[in-house]
Amino acid sequence: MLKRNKKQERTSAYEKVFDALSLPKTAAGLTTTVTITGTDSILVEGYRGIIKYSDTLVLLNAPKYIIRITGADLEITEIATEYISLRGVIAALEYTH
Amino acid sequence: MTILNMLNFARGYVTVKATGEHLERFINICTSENINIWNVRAHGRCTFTACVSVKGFFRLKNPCRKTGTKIHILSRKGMPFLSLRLRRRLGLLLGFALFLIVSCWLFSHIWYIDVDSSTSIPREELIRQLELAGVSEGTPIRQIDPNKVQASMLNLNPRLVWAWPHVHGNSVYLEVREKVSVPEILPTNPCNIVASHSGLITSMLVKEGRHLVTEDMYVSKGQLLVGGIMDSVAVGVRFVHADAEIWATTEESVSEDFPLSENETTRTGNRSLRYTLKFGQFPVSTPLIGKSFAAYETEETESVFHIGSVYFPISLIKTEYMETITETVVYPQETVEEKAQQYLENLLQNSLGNGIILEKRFIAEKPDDKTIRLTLFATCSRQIAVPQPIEEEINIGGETD
Repeated sequence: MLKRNKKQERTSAYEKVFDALSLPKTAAGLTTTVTITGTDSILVEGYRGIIKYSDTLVLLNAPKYIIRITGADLEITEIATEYISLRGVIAALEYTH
Repeated sequence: MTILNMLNFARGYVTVKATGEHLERFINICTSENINIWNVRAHGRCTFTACVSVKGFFRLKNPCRKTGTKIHILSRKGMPFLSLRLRRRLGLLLGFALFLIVSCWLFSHIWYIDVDSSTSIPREELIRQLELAGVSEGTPIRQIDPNKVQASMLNLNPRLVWAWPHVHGNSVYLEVREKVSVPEILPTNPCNIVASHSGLITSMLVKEGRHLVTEDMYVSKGQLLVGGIMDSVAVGVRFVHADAEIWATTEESVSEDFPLSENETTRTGNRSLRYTLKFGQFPVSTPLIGKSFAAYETEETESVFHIGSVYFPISLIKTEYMETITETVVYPQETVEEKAQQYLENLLQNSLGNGIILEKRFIAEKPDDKTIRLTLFATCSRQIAVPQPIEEEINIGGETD
């Protein structure tokens, strides 16, 4: 618990510096970029890993929250350490803290 | 097929079926170990299919061991697997290799030449000179040095001031610029103006020199019209280059003999064909399709094989042989006269330059049965001023007609 608090404090300190210098947070991996194209394609940049994957639900770990994507026939078209691209019928996108 | 798919196909990939309890962890490990996987599709809770690169497939051992996932290969795709399958079909491989070699050879040579058509220099002349400069159909592209070609073209054609060959794929476009000729320097040598024809002067415009005749005066051929020797109290005697435009009404006549019969070649309508397939400089002809004729005319059409702007050294030449017969045709006198009148009128008009024919009449004679002699008598308006160097003897009185 103490470890997590220290990490959170450090992250917020980074954020403060980035805010003060007006630098993009995506450059430091402090935030996630989600791009939805139409209703059948979604690209998540800056994620940390997959928590759950099925053809109707995808849970992605992000720096501050969990991204929950629901839909049908969800397929991972591309995956790398920095980004994940999904295709299928996207019904909803939620952020869970 | 996208570029990424083409790359994956070229490198080869396998479609695998993964079964296990910790599939998400398996994917995360693969990602962290830079194993290239894509098109991951879940089938139930514990199974998914995915595409993995050949290199990545051999590195799946560690993720499988860590997560207890079992892998089954569903299919193998891509060039490495295709080449393994085609390894025994030697003819196909040889054909493919030959295709690659021929393609490379064809794409490394020039097969079409075009030249700038906005100049007064004929296209054929420029193409011939370009050939002498080392650029012709079949020249290797790497041998074309634009600077050398330019230098050769400027040497070969003195009318050019600039030339540049633009190489686009297998074609060359020669862009040229012509020299702009400098204006003619007016002569300054002392001379008089004399009459080239006898006639009645209708108008005079003397730019330099001394008037010796006036309008409405009849002048003879060779008569001095404008003098090049000027004399004044203030300057004294000086010699000038006399210049004038003097128009006069003159009487002209042209005469010529015309035959009443002519040998005329006509086409009978019988045709024969021959096709020739030309590979570079090597022609392969078919036998003559149809009869062979004693006398004939030929018409040739050439179609060069090309795909878009890429021209190949293969062309199909269609040669048409048309039978002809030569007959002696006797024309009626009226027809010959009509044509002869037109011919004489054109002949006279050409000799007048920018002058005009005011009145005309024709007189026809028949010296023998086969010929007709036609004479054109015309009243014309023409320029009669011609320069005569001052050293020459001047005929002030002129000739009498």
